[in-house]
Amino acid sequence: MSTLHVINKSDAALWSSCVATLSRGDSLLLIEDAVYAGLPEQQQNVFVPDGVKLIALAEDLAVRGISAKIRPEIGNTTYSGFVALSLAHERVVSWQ
Amino acid sequence: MSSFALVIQGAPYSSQSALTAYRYCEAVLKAGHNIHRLFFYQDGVHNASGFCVPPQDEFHLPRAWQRLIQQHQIDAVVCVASALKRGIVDQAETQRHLLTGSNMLPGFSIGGLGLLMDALANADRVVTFAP
Repeated sequence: MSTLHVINKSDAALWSSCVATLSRGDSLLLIEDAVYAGLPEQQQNVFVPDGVKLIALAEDLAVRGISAKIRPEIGNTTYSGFVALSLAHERVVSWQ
Repeated sequence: MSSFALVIQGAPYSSQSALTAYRYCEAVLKAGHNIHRLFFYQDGVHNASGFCVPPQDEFHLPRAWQRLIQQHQIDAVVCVASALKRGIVDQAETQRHLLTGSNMLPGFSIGGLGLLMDALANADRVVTFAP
């Protein structure tokens, strides 16, 4: 039972709650202002366990002008990829 | 084909979340999947307002929702308790509460949390978009 976790803000308390629940096979998708967490200087905030994919929404990176600046290990996806990820996991949890 | 229910909790123009939900909804439909229901909850009820008048060169999110809902015959439910508190009313609620006008866009309908429970039970995926 894997989960797609979606996070949309860079709130430290929210991040630590989210990261604590990640399990192998899960994915963590950064959208909206959470994509800033993919910048190299933010690395300490986005440590995820082995076996968890870290992905950012490409459109949200682009509108913030940081597409080329995010850490290379972070994948990116489109809205159609977001839909496909939702189906690839058993459930979608939006952190708020 | 899979079915999706989206829970929209953000008002248009206040945060990005309602626009994210709209883009996601478009992508679901484009991929050939079905929208079981849109459930507009809390501040999300403002997406159903027919009284939003953004500048002409800005994206009109409530009307965009309305077009998508009507084109694809989507069940778009506005939470009754959230809507009444925030002044989003259809004609029936206008009459019931003796108000001077209604503002809910055609295509949206007023409903209760039971319809959210139905969506949780019956849609393949439920995705929440909160501010």
